[in-house]
This record gives sequence, structure tokens and C-alpha cells, in this order.
Amino acid sequence: MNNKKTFLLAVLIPLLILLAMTIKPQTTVLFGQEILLETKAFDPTDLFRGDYVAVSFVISDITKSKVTLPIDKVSNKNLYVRLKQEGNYYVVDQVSENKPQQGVYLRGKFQDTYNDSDTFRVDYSLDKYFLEQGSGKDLQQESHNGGLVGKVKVLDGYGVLIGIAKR
Amino acid sequence: MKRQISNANFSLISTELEYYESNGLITGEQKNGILESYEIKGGLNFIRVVVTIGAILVGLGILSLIASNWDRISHLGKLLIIFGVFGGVNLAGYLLSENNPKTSRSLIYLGTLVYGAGIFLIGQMFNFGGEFPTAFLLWSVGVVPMAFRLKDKYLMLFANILFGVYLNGSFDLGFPYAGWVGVPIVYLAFNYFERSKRLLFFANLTTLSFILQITLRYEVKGLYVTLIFFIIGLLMYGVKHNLGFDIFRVQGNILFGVTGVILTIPELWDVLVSAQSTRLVSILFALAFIVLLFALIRKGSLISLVFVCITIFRYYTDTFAFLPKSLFFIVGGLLLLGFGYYFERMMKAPKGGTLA
Repeated sequence: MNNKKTFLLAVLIPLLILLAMTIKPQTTVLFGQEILLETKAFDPTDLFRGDYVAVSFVISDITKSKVTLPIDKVSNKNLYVRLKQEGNYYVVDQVSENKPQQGVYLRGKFQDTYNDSDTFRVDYSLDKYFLEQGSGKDLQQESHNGGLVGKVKVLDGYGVLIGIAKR
Repeated sequence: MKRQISNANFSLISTELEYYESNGLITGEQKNGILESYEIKGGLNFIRVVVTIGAILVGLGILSLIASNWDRISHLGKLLIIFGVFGGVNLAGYLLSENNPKTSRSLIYLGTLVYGAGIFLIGQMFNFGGEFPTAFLLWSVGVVPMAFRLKDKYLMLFANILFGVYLNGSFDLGFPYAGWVGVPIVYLAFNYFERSKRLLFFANLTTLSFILQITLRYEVKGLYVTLIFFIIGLLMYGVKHNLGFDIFRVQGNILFGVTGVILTIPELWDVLVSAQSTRLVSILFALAFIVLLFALIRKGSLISLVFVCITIFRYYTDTFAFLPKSLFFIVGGLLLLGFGYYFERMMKAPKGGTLA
């Protein structure tokens, strides 16, 4: 390869990485099913991505009675959480190791849990909603007054948080 | 070819040679002959510094613009701007590389920062949750090809540091598997980039971070983690080889010094011995450690001297039982004074010390 081509390659690799990063979330936004989730929220800042509303979904705490798997197959494992609609919102239906055949489900990482706690904490990577600097105060206030709802697009177990709004 | 040395060393040599000349040890001709065999190494180039800082400022500005999440420009608009600026500065960098190499290089640096801004923009667009250490991995992976293409050790250093941030930030997110590939690459780069000492320094730090992540991942007990790093430190200090041994030696000395001080904490030892004997074991370790440090100080290791002081200070703050402490320190101090006096009488010619 000549000089020009290797230089071009060194420029293209970062561009391809950037493009590749957008494929999964963009596909989900375009083709995923939209669901509403109940949240609690507050307003911190990330050094590189700026202000965000940190959201904690109700479905992130799953009561242990809903999980039939033995504890060593749950802690620190990635599992599928099937959701069902109750009223406007989606709530946890059941938890499984294998991908459900149908319905709405999210893949989430179950954290370590204490024996005396009756819930599992699950990380769906849906805990941040970024917004323009200084504009998070209203949402934070609203969250103190009784919660917000999160709009999430779901495709094949992968979720993208596309909006949060007042209940 | 003339031997290249720094400006400071050259002025030291010329002062000393003038002193030899005035003492009649060498003639003026000999002095000039010696001085002519040296050449002052090119230091910082002013233009390069100015354009590089300029590029870094613009890059930080763009990173900050993305973080502000200014909503007058849509996310797609910002992504297109990032792609455009990235392509533009790299193209300009390529075109200028013949005639304005310094400006060209700084534009390439700017490109790597714009690329990083792009990663965070995408994280923001799709509201990626969690701590996002993957961003630093992807940033590093994107910088490496250009670093190798231009054989630019500063870019490689940047990629190495980004990789280190990824390794140390991914504790909550499971094992950083990229370490198995990344660690060999940083040493490959060290070899490829004319064995730059800075690269070796950061390559070693990266490896140590990765080993730490492995031990944390397998939930190795604190005592064993510290012992592992203590031994690694001793090996880095002691095993002789040709791959930048002086860097290994300094890093090894600091590593076993820090872990050695940690190992004097009694509570750490309760996984190995019963709770009653932790104090005894830790004190026996501390004594052996101090003896080792003194042996190394005798060989000229100034860093070991620092760790002797830290260990003493650690015991001074350890307890408020002042009377036993007073006895311990007075007896210890008298012993050292006695040894020193004995050695001074034994040795006729004092030895000079060097760093590490």
C-alpha cells in the first residue's frame, strides 16, 4: 500500500467506529416498539457528555419472587426481563436466561444482592437522559413532585431511552 | 556522528572541563576536542508547541460544545459537523504535511480530539447509560492506526493513556477483555517507536492496571493482591535486561515500596494467620522490609530512603500509646546511630549514591 492509502485507512477507521456505534441504537429507534416506563429522576453532569437526568426505572428493582432461577445464575449475570403492559406502563412479567420467543423484553445485568433485600437491582443501561446544559432543573423538580415517565424504544432486548416527560 | 546531549548536560560538561583545564589536568586543546564531540539535542520547538496547544484548545472547545448539548443544532447536525471537521482537518493535515509539517501534525492531533467528541456525542444522542468506559476504549482504538501510520509517539502515548482510563474505569462492567489485546500492542508500539522511554513507562502502568483488574475480577484477597504487586515490584527492580532497564527499576522500586508500606498494616494479614498474630506478622514483615530498604540505600537507591521515612511516619501515627512508642523510637534510633557509627569506622572510602 502506498502512503496515501495507509493515511486514508488511518482516517477511515475512526469514522467507521463512529458509524458502527450508531447502528444498533439507530435501528432500535427506527424499528423498535415504543413503551412507557415509570421513573424517578435527578440532575447531575458528566464531564464529556454534559448535563443529564439520571433516571431510575421502576422495572430496575425486581422482587425476588418474580425470579425462579437459583441465585448463582442471577448475580452479575445478563438475563432477559419480559415486560407486560399494565395501564399505561410496562411492568416486569418474568425473568429468564434465554431470549423470550415473543412479547416485549429487555436484556439487563443483575447486580450483586444482599440476602436480606427482597429485590434484585437490574442495570439496563437506560439510566441517563442527556439534555442541554441548565435545562434539567424543571425535570428534577417534577421528579420530586411525583415522578416522570420514560419513553423507551425496544428491539430484540436492546432499549434506547428516547424521551422523558411529566406523568 | 556527534553524541547528542541536552543543553543542561552540555553546560555541566563544559564547566567541569574548564575546571580541569584551570587545574592543569587537560590542555585547552583537549578541552575543545572533547566539547566538539558533543552536539546539543534539539529541545522544544516553539512553533510546534504553539500549534499543538492551539489544536488542543480547539479540540477541547469542540468536546465542550458537545457536552453543552446546545439544542439549536440537532443531534444529526452535530454528527455531520463532527464528520465534516474530522475529514477536513485530516485532509488539510495530509496536504500540509510536505510544506508545513508542524501545522499538519497539530491538525491531525485536532482530528483525534474531534473523533473523541464524536464518540461522546453518540453516547449522548442515544442516552447510553452507565459510566461509558467503552468510550475511552473506542477512542484509543481509533487513535492507534494514525499513531502507527505517522510513527508519532505522542499520539501513541495519548492512545495508551486513554486505554488506561478504560481499564481502570470498567470495574462495574465486567472484565475488560480488550486488555489481552491492548497490553501486547502497547509493548509492540514501544518497540516500533524507537523504544521511547515515555511509552515504556505508560506501557508498564497499563500492564499493572490490567493485572490489578484481573485480581479484582477473581476477587483475590487484599493481602494476596498486595503481595503479588510487591513481588512484581521486586522483580521489576532486580531482574536485569536490555529493554529500558532504568524505567523498570524506578517503577519497580516505587511499586514494592508502596505495597511494602501497605503490607505493614496488621489487619491485612488476617486471611493468612489468626487474628491474634496479625500484629506480630506485620511487624516482622516491616522489619524485613526496612532491612531490605537499607540494603538498597547502601547500593544508592534514594527512592528506598523515601520509603524508610514513610514507614517510620506510618508507625509514628499508628498509635496514641505514647510511652511504648517513645521507647520503640528511641531504641530504634539508637540502633541506627550505632550501626552508622560502626559502618563509618569500617569504610575508608565513602560511596556516592545515584537515583535508584
